[in-house]
Amino acid sequence: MLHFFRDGFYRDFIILLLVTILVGTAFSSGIAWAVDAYFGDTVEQVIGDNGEYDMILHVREASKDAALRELERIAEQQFPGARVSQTITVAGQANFLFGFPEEARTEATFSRLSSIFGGVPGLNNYTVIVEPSVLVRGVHASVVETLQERFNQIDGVKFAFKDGKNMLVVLESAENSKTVINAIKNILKEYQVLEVRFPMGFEIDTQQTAETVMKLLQQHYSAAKMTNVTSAEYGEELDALVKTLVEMRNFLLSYASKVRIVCKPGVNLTSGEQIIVQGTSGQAPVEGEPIGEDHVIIEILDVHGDQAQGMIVAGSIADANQVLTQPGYRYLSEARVGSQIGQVELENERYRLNYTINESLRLLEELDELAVEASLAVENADSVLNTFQEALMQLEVLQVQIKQLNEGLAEKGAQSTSEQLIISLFLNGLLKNLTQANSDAVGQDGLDSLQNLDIEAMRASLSNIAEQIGSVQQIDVQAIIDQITDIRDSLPQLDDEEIGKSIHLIDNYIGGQVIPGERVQILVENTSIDESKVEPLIREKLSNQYLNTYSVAVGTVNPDTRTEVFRILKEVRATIAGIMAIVFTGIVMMLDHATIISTIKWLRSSKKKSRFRWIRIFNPAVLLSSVVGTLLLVSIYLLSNAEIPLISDSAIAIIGAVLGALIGWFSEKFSPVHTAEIMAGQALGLSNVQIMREIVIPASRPGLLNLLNRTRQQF
Amino acid sequence: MLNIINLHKQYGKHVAVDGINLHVKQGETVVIMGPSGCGKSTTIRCINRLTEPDAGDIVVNGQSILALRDKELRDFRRTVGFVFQQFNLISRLTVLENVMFHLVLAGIPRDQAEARARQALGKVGLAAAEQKSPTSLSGGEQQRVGIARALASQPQLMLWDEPTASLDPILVGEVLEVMEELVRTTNTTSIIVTHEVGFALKVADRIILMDHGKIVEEGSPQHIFVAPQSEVGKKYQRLIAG
Repeated sequence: MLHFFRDGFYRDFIILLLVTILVGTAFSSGIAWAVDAYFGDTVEQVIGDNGEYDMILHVREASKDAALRELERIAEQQFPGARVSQTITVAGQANFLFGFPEEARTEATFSRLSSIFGGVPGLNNYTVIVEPSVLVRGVHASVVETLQERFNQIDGVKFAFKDGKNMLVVLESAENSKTVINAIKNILKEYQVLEVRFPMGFEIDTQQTAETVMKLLQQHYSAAKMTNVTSAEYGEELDALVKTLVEMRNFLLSYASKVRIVCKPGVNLTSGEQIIVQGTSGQAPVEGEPIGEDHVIIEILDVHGDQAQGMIVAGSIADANQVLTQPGYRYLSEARVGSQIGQVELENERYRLNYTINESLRLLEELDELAVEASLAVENADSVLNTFQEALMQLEVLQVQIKQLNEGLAEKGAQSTSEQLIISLFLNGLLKNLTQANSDAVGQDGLDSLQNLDIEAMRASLSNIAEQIGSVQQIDVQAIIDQITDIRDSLPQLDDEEIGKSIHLIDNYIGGQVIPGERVQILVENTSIDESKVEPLIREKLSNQYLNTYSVAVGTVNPDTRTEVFRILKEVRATIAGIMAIVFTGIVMMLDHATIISTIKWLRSSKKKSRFRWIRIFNPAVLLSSVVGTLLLVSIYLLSNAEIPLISDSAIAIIGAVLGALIGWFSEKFSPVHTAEIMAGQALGLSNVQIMREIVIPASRPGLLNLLNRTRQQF
Repeated sequence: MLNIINLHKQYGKHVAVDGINLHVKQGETVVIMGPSGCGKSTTIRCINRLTEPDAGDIVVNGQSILALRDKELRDFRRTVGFVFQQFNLISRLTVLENVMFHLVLAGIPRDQAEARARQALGKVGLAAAEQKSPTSLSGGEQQRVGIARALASQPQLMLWDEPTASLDPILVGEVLEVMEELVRTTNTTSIIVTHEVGFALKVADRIILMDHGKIVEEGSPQHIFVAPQSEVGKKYQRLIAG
C-alpha cells in the first residue's frame, strides 16, 4: 500500500489532511460559535441585563395572566419600584422576571421569597439570579447557619442567604468578586465532611458507627472538632421527628407498667431476655409447661447486679390495682416456661394515674360544697364568739354585784338573822358555782383566765379563714374539673403489650438506628483529614474491608446564575463543536477519503496476496482509513475546543477509528471509482499520483480533495 | 522479443493461467484464441503487469518485467500499447485529450503530444471527432479512440484484449479494418486476444490456442484451422466449416 503514496501522492495526502483539519476546525468552531452567539443573545433577552432582575419565576402557561397580575400587585403594594417583565414561554411554562428595588435587596427579603411569591397563581418554581453574587452550591445542611454567619462577615459581602441546598452570597460590587470568592473558598476549606460509605445494602447503626469512627479519629487528630452530621442532610424535619419520637418513647416508658425484678442468687439476666409471670391470670406458670394465654411476658431492659427492670411485651395487668409481686420464670423456646429466676414486682402506673385523677375529680367536686359549709361554720363561730363575749361580760357584772351584796351582808353580819344567813349562804354558793363553771370552761385560772381570752384575735383569725374560704369559692373549680376530665380522656388507651410494641418500634428507629443507612458523615473542623490514610484504620476498627472513605466539601463555589448560564452555553458550544467535528469527519471521510481508500483497495486487488497473514486478515486500506478517521476527528475535536459530556478524548479517538474503519470498509459504496479508467491509466504508464490527480479525483464526489486537486490537475 | 516462462496465475481456487510458456519474436503478430475463461486476457494482462502473476517470468528484450520497480514498470508500460475490450476511455476528457493526456503526463510537450494524438486519430479515421466526448461516440468509434490512444505512445508491443468483444456485429468490421491496417502497415509486435477467426486468419503470424489456462496448440493459421490437433482447434475448424 505504501507504494501508492511513495510516488508523490503522499504530499497531496498530507496537504489534504492538514487542510481537512483546518477546515474542519473552522467549521466546527464556527457552527458552535454561531450557536453560542445566538443563544447568548437569547439569554440576554431571557434574563435581562446584568443586575436588572433578581428572580425568574416559572409559572404554568395557563396561569400566566393571573400570575402577572399578582406579580404586579406584589410590586406595587410590597415593593414599590420593583420591575416585572414577562419573558419567553417554553414547554408550557411561562417565565417572569422580577427585580426588587434597591432598598429591598436585603437578606430579609431574599430569606422569605417563598412567602412573598407563594401566592402567585400557577407558580412552579423560581430561580434567583441576583447579581453580583457568588453561588455556593451543595452547602451541607450541618453548616448552613455557620457559613451564612461567616460569609456575612466577609468584606465586600452585602449578605448571604440560603436558597434550597445552595447559598447565595450577594456582593456589594462585582469588583469584589474575586476577593470574596477567595475568602469563601478559604472558609470552606476549614470544614470537611468525612463520609464513611458502606457497600450497597449494608445497613449500619449510624449513631454508634459515627461515634466509633469519631473516637478513632480523635486519637490521631486530637485538634479536630468532630460532629456526627449523618442526619443533618436529611433536614430539620427529621431531627424534629427523632426528638418527638424520643419524647414519645420516654412517655410510653413511664406510662407502661413498672416491672422490677429481684433475681434469685446465682441467676443472671441479660438485656433483651424475656421472662414470664402470672400477672392477673388465674393460673400460675408451671416450669416445663406451655405459656398460658393470660400470662404476662416481660422483656428485660436493664440489669444492675441482682436487680433488673423490664417492660411488658405481651399480656396485661390492666386490672391490677395494687402492686403485684410474683415469681418470674425464664422464657424458653417453643413458648414454654423455664426455671424460676426470682421475684417480679409489677406496678400498673396507668391504673394509679387513673385512680389519682378520678380521686382528684371527686375532691374538686366536693371542694365547692366544702367551702360553702366552711363559710357557714365560720359565720356560726363568729356568732358564738359574740354570744360568748356578751355572756362573759354579764357574768362579770353579776360576779361584782354578788360580791358587793355579799360584802353588804357581811357588814350587817353582827346582827345576822337566820334570813340573812340563808341569803349569805346562797350567794356564796352561787359565787362558788360561777367560779366553778368558769373554772371548767377556761382552766385553772378561773374567771380571770376566761376574761383574758383575746376575743378580737380570735375574730381576726375567723375573718382570715373566711377570706381564704372566699378565695377558694372564687376558684373556677368546674373549669379545673373539665380540664382534668379532658386530660383523663385524652390519655392513650393502650395496654402494656401495645406500649411494649410501640417502644420496640421506636427503639428500632431511634435507639439502635437513628438514621438507617449505608453511610455516616462526620463534620471535621480545624483539621484536614486525609481520607486515604484513615480508611485502613476505619476498616480495621469496624472490621469491614468493604467500606470506603470519602472527603466531601461542605460547599463548592460557583459563579452566579448568569455566569452559570453562560458556562452552560460554553458547554453547549463545546458539545456542538464536538458533534460538528464528528459530522465533518464523517462527511470528509465519505467524500474524500473513501475515494482514496477505494482506489487503494482496487489497486491492491491486482497484486499478489501478501505473505503476512495480518495483512490478509486486516485490510491495510481499512486500517489506513481507521487511522485517518482517528487523526482527523481527534485533531478537529481538540483544535476546536470541543467537549462532549461523558465522552473522553480517548473515546473520541475510538469513535474516529470506528468511523474511519466503517467508511473504509464500505468505501466503494460511498465513493465508487471508475476502475476501467484507472486500469487504462496504469496501462498507459501513469504513476499513482497521476492516476489520482487526472483520473480518480476529478471524477470523484466534490469535496476538499477535489477542490485541492484542481490546482494540480493538467486535464 | 518476448518470452513468457512458466506463467501461473490463480484467482482464489480458480487457476487462470497454468504454466504457460510463450516466445514472441520482434514484429510478430500472435493471436491468442480459446473459449471464454481459458486465461487469454489474464495472460495478456500479466505481460504489462496489470495483473500480477503468481509465478513464472516474463522477459521482454532480455529484461524481466516482474523484476521491474515502480518507475521502471511505468517506463516499460509506456512502450506497450494496450487496447481494452471495454475501451477504458476517460469519460470526462475529449477524444483528443484521451489520446494525448498520457503523453503530456509522460513529459512530452503538450504541442508535440497533441500532434501525435492527432496523427493517431487520423490513422483510425477519427480526426474530425477530436473535440467530442467519448460518450457521444459509437462503440466502434470509442474503440478506435482506444486504439489511437495506444498508437500515440508509438509502442514496441501492442496488446489487444478482445477489442471487438463489446461491439455490435455491425461495428466490429470498422474496428477490425483499422486493426488489420495497423498490423499490416506497422512493424509493431502484436499479441491479440480475439474470437474473430477470420481476422486471425488474415493477420496472425501464429495462433495460440488456450484451454483451462494452458496452451493446447499453437502454429500458423493454416496449421491450426486446417489440421487442428486439440479439441479447441477442432471446434474452431468446425466453426469455419460451418
